[in-house]
Amino acid sequence: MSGQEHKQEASLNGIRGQLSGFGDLEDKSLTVPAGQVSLLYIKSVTDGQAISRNIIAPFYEMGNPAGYYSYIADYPGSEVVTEGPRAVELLLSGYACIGWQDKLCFFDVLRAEASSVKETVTESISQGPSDALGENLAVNLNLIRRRYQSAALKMEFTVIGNMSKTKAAILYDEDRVNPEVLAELKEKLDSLKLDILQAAGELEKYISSDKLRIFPKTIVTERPDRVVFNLAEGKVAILLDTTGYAIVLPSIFNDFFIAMDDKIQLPFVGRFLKLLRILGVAMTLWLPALYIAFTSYNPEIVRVQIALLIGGSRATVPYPSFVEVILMMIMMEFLTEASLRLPRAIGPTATTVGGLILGQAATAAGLIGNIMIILVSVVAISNFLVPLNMMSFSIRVLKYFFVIAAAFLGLIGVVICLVGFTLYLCSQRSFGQPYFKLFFLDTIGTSLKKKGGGQ
Amino acid sequence: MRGRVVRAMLLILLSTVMAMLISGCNYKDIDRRIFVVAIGIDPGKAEGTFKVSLKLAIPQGDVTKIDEKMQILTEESESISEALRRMKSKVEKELDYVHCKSVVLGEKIAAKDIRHVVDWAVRRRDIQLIINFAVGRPGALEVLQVKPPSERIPSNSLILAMSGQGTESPFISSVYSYQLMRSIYEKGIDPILPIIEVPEENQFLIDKIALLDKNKIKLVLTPDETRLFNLLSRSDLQTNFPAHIGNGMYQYYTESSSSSYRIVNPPDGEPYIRYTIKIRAILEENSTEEMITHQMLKKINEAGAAELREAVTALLVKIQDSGMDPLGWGLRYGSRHWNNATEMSDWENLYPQLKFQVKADVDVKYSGMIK
Repeated sequence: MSGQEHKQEASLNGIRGQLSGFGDLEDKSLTVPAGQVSLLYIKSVTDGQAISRNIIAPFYEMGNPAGYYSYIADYPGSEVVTEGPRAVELLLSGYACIGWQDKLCFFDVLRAEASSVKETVTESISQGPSDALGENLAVNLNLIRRRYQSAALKMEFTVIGNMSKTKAAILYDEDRVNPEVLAELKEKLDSLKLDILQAAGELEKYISSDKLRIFPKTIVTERPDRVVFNLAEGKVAILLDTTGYAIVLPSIFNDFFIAMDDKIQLPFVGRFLKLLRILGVAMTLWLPALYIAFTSYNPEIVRVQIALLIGGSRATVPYPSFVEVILMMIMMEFLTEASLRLPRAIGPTATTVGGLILGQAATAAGLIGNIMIILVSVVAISNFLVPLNMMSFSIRVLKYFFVIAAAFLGLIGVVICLVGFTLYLCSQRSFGQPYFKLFFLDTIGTSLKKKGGGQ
Repeated sequence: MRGRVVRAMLLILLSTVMAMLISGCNYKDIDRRIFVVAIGIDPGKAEGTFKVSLKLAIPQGDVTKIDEKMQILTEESESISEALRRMKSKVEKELDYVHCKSVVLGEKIAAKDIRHVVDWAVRRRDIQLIINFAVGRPGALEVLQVKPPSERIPSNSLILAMSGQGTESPFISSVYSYQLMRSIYEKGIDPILPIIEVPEENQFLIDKIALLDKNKIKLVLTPDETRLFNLLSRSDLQTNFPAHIGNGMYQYYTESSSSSYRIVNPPDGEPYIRYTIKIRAILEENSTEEMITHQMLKKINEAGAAELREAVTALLVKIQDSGMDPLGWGLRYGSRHWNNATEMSDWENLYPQLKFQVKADVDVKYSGMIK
């Protein structure tokens, strides 16, 4: 197939065949009495104004297709192409194709949305691209097409919401996507009966079959590079107009712990960072529960020195340990939520006042033990080690289950809870894919190949 | 969909109710518990009674201040459990034994019979099997009352010293309750116990081992013998041994040590135990002004080995004369013979006739920092 393609001559029908399923492919005939030319371009990567100014207007002004064709072919940056693959390549990288008789010429009308692209806010990384998806669908498609220049990347457009009429684009790599997932998704989108759709997270809620669920089944991301990374793994992305986030599905548990700079770091550093993240999740989930278990049920597990230390720091605390923990954790949640809503200028003040002074005063007043303050800060910080917000919020809620289990059953409760959640995770499916499997792709070999790594 | 939600809710509700019903261990906050860190057991005033003392650790409110607080409770009863129950009425918090790390037996108890106390300590479920046993001299209560100035957490010094987590003194051997129980009831090995003395106020001294004839003290080793005993009973003992050449005295530090033995019973000839001691050492002290050369090190090796051989042989003979078997030779003999019915009685007959061959191999590798 690919060998045949190689020899294939460039022809308009050949290009049309290859780009079928491209929702943003524009295919027009320009006609004057003396003849006609065909114009093909991909809307999301080209500049509409440049096309009308440099391609369409001169055609009608000249009224002579032969002269027009030579004008186009002589234009600086233009390219006359005879090979099929090269033609598709150019189209994808922002060229418009002008076909006259059986000759094809490509005209550079690339649109690079540099100025209007914002930087990432919720998924910042230290090194690597900082472009974020914006609120304009066309810009977003441009960002993704530029990073994924393959004829296999298909875009389909649909409109969701009776009132909001939100435009949505479904993106997938034709060669790699699982057709069952795609079919299931389309079926779900067709059966949606919504009036208003405003955010990607909202759509995520509607297309998941499970109503009572704790773990996100789809990634909601603002990073075009993450979308591209997942497209290459054979996933489907949904981009919505008016929202700066894309939905990627199906997603497995492990996907939520991948930061985009893992790839940039050296192998050992990347592994270490990933380990750190998992450790952070373990900390934030278990520490409060273990504190309750150790202080109220099983003080024999910790060393005598620590037992006495905790005992000493709790000497003045009037309430049982689980009340202390829940009180302090709720207080911390208030702080986190408040600092999110506060205007940027007074945000730091609130956290300082809340975190430092409140903690200090609470221990000084003897309401909360010293150890508890350390614990709460560790829990609060380590919670945010998860790169994706959806998962980090899930874990924030999840730790209360552990706390309640520990309050009733001590260490046994924590273990029961852990086993329970492991079983629950194992039973989950994300669009037919086992949710708790370790790697989305089956073998490391294929994943390397598909991501273009490995020599 | 609705049905599933309701079912899930019911499941959660049901499991919560069930969880409340089965609530595992007792819910008791750590500040409502008081931790017993050491138990001392002396004979009571009346015959057949115990005087049980508990050392309680009181958590400090302000951790930045070094202010050790402890409390000692004492109660006499003919039963240890009874004494502990009675002591519950003397404190406002629940007594918690999970962090109890040591049991000190009064010398008078150890001289009579320790089996009652050991049985209690092993049987009681909330006292761990890795509790350290020791003999207190003159009594257990005196040992519990010691409060060294370096201590921050009550009884921490006692715990650290007895378990070997802190000081690595070559004179201390730690004996866990499971080991003690085993060596009391096992044939072919006799229990040992370290002795804790209180030479002056707020200071203790652990440098002797008592050898027990299954249930009571029969022989107390001197500090020097204790060190040699530890050299034989465990590997990598960190200590120093002397070597005398002429008038000069040299001390070497044992970097690594190991000892092994073989019980040899030749068909024609006398049975004997061959001990092999291997020591790699560094020269630590030199009373002469002499230059330490390679030849000199060789001489030190020989002198040191000879002295060690002599001392170890004397110790082994002393142990044999007492009729006890703290190093478990009998157990080793039994484990290497198939005649299960008679092997232990064979050993009883064999033991008094044993001779000892000690092979000491001292290798002083390095002369120290001076040229």
